[in-house]
Amino acid sequence: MSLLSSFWDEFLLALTTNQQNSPILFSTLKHVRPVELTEEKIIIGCDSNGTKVFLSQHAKEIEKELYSHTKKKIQLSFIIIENKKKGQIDSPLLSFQSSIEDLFLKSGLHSKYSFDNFAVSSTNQVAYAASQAVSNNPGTAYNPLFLYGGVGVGKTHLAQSIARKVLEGNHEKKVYFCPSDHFTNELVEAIRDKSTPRFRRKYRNLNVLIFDDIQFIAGKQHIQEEFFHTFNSVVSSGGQIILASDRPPTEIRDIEDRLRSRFSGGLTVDIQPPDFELRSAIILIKAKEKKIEIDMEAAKIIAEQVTDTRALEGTLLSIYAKTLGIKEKIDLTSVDYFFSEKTVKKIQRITPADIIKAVSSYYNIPQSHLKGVERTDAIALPRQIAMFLLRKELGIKQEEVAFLLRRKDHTTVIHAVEKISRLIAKDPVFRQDVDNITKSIFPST
Amino acid sequence: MSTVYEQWFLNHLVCLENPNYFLYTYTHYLLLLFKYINMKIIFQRDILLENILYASRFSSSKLSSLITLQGVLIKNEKGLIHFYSTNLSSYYHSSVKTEEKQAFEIVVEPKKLVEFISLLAPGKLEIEVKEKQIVITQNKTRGEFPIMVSKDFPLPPTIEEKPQKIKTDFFIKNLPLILFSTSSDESRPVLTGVNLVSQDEELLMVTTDGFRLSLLKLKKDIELPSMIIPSSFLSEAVSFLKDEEAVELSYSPKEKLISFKIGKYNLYSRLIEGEYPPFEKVIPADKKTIIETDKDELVRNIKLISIFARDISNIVILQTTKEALQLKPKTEVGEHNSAQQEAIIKGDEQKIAFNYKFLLELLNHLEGKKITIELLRSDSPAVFKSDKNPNFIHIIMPVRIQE
Repeated sequence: MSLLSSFWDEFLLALTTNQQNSPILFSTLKHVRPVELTEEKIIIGCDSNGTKVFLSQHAKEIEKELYSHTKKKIQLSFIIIENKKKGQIDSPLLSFQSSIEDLFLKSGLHSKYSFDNFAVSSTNQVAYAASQAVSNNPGTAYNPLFLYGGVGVGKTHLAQSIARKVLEGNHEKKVYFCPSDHFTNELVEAIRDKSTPRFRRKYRNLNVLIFDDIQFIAGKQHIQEEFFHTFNSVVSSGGQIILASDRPPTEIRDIEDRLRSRFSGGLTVDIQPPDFELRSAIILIKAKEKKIEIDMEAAKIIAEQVTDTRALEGTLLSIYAKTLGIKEKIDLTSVDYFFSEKTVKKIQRITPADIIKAVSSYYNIPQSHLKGVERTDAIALPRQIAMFLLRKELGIKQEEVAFLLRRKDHTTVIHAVEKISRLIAKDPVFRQDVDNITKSIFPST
Repeated sequence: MSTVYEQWFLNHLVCLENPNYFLYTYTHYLLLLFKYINMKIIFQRDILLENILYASRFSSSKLSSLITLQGVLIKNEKGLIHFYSTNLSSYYHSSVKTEEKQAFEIVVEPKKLVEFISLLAPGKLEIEVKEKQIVITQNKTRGEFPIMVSKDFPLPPTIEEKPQKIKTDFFIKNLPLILFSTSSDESRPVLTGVNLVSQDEELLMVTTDGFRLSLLKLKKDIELPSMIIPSSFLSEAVSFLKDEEAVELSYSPKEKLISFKIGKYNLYSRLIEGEYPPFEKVIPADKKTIIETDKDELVRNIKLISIFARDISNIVILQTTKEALQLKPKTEVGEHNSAQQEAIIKGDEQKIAFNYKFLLELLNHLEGKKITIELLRSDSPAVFKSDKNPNFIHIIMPVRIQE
């Protein structure tokens, strides 16, 4: 730098003789500093655009002066430099870093989801490993990552954990967790307010886009189109897409083929409903989070009785509320007591007649037909559902069920229960039907 | 006149040494010959005063060695007397009709001149342009002012782009809201400007000095690209607006220049080049507490507390209770100065500290009766809104206080 400035000072000194000719140019030159000097060119740092433009207009003259001073052809160029003082602290507002919690909130993430509190067993280990891989190399490992599985298997948990890890690794990453209805509503609003470009900017420049419950965009033409373009621009700019659905891409109906093929282009993993061991583990994790003390045995009982993951937490909390103040921790007896109380209540509240009535009204067939001899599919299936519900919901003996529906013996009932269980596991639409009937039986729960 | 010829001769020698300069120097001295022919121009005092005074606002003030740029160029050309001034970043131009045919071009130092003219009686005065000075006479009063070298005085660039008419209301209403929070620190030029962000249907105007930030979201009625305009230029321009209905605004991407034609005044400014800091990330995404309170009362209370606060740190602490906002200075332990006012408070209880000057400056620029303050935490930026300016938000970085 010293060489540079001494060169410049000498040059200015040489110019003084010409000062009369162009006083403004001369005094302006006194206020700028060269930042780089080579044999062919010199770069002058200006403090403002005005100075830069003014000097550029006189570049020829300065070059001539430089030539007469150095006897070399030196080309001039100008840049604007910020003369930041050394040790200057950056202003507090602009250097403000929002806390990681704020970032989560901005990205639509819930702080309760992370890899740390995700229990892994054989039913979800593939999905877990894939998610880990994606979070370590977003955009490159598997793109898109398609997670599917039933209710409460942990799709959202995994997807959010990926986003969280990416964000924790780099606060600058643009991550957004988007439930599909959110996307739909926002797009509709954007169209209404004529602000679609803003909508596009929001989505298309993301580093990680997580789209939850993708199946809901089925049948919505415009949404699918917008999503298609969002998908493409995110992927092409190296962003990661994570999709969660309740069924694999091939089974989502009313979805454009180009979308379906893109969904299947990365890694598609299914997450099975949690097995007994996983459910026990989940209870223990939840209990630890909520600082509830629970026996291992008690946890197992709950895991046996409750299959739904969300219900696990609910059950745990209800038992905890009941034992609160009576016992220090949840043990076997309190769990046993809770479940016996619950079943008795359930049975007391509804009668077999309620179930038969609910099934017949759901399928719109007279009760007499359910109890009749006809064995066509339209009648037989509802009848089997009725048997299934009588067994499962009320725990009535097989013989009794057979009697209620005027069947010969309990083998019919065994067959019906098996068939319906199988169908529920296989066909989500059918499961929805059964769920709806169950809901209509228990209106308040 | 002898000195002129001497100089001409000397310069001619230089020209002989360096033939490139011959033409340049020669034509210039021809001009000089014109210049030194004495002439008298009659002016109305007010018109002359106005033109020189306004021009002086755009002349260079900070660079002490650019003496010529501190001056105002007065030039007679084709029946118009032009006034020019510049600090290389912004330019001023206005003109007045004249009977005088004789061309001349002089630069005068405006400060003394303005002071002198303003003390004269209203009415006519006479300017005599001489070789080395101008003489202003009115009745028996006479003032001589030296002339500076007018050579290479930069004139405003010409803009080829078509101007668009903008109602002055637009500037008068919006600019004061944001101009106060620009930085005056030249070491970070972008912060001395108003950041114009043009996106979709919106025109954003942002200013920040690193401690606070103003953001104005406007409907895009004006077709302008994103740019950073020097705020000093805009605040000068605002003062020209009061009597006019519309401004003719032009923008030249080639020259990186913006110009305002306001009545007979032409104002130009180079844009600030550089990367504006990413202001979006400063805008809080969330809030935990919303305080809604009377603005005027808040102003009064802050002023009250500032009496105690300014001795030490200028810090005023805002604390929320269920139905009130309490203010106290950050002072020595054992003092109990405080003020309290009613407020509608939603959310968590908070305690947050600000430099009271920032608060006052904001509140003085806001219209409306009510002010809303949104807080997240005591160490994260707070958002201020007014009921009268729904498209405006202001953000202030709080000061850390040790408990």
